[in-house]
Amino acid sequence: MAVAGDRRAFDELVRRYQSPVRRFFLHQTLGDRHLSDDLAQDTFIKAYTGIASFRGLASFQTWLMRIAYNVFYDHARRKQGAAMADGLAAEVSAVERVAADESMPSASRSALGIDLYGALQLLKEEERACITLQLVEGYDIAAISRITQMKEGTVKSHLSRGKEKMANYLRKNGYNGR
Amino acid sequence: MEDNERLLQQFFDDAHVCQPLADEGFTERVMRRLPSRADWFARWWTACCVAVFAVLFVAFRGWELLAVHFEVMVRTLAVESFSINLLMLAGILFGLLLVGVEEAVSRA
Repeated sequence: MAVAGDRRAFDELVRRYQSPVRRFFLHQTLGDRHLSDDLAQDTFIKAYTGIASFRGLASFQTWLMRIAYNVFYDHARRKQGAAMADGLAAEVSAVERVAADESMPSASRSALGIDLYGALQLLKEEERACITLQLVEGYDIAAISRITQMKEGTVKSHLSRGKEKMANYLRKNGYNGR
Repeated sequence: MEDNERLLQQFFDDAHVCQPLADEGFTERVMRRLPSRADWFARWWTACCVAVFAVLFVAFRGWELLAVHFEVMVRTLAVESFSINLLMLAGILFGLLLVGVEEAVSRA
């Protein structure tokens, strides 16, 4: 395990864990690749400066995802304040953003990808985080609870409400999973 | 409820969202942004200065000196508002100096 100041070991950790962290942010930001990479960078820098606080009780990835969730939570609170001030930030359509971002993987630029961010956009931030942590990253409810610092009951209700909203959206748009 | 979960799982599978993302220079960008030894030194130096200041403040009974100066300031307030302006200016300059030095050290 890397210790503070051991840059070579930390380089290895970033390479190993960059994908789940960036993917988490990509879904939380509804496909904004530049923003999600910025937030992922902040996450790894916080992990580097605070690695002494990692005690190995949870897996390193769970610890890292907890930092990532906190980084996104702080970002969302700041954006919420700014959006209230100018009323514009929340109006940016995920569909437009995906269409404009040429660096998106082809699967995300397809009609299916647009539906993905369109569906995720319907969810509250907490619901989106819980759903992607469970269905994309594969965490169980106990781990999601540790990452988000929510009670397991709260995680379950976010998951249930979020899945209901997303499933209804997909069915309305003709997706039935076959 | 289980239908919803199955549908969503199928949808995420179809969208290939679980595929690993290529690094594409991300690690290098992170490594370039990591705090350097100069940052650690700046933090350590600031902590040392604060500690020394705290020790001197207690050793020389800094609160008594402050009380005397505050009393003089209040007494002269009525007759010499000019000196108050000077004090404020000195305070602002000192603050800017501290911020500037901190910034210079962190960029070094």
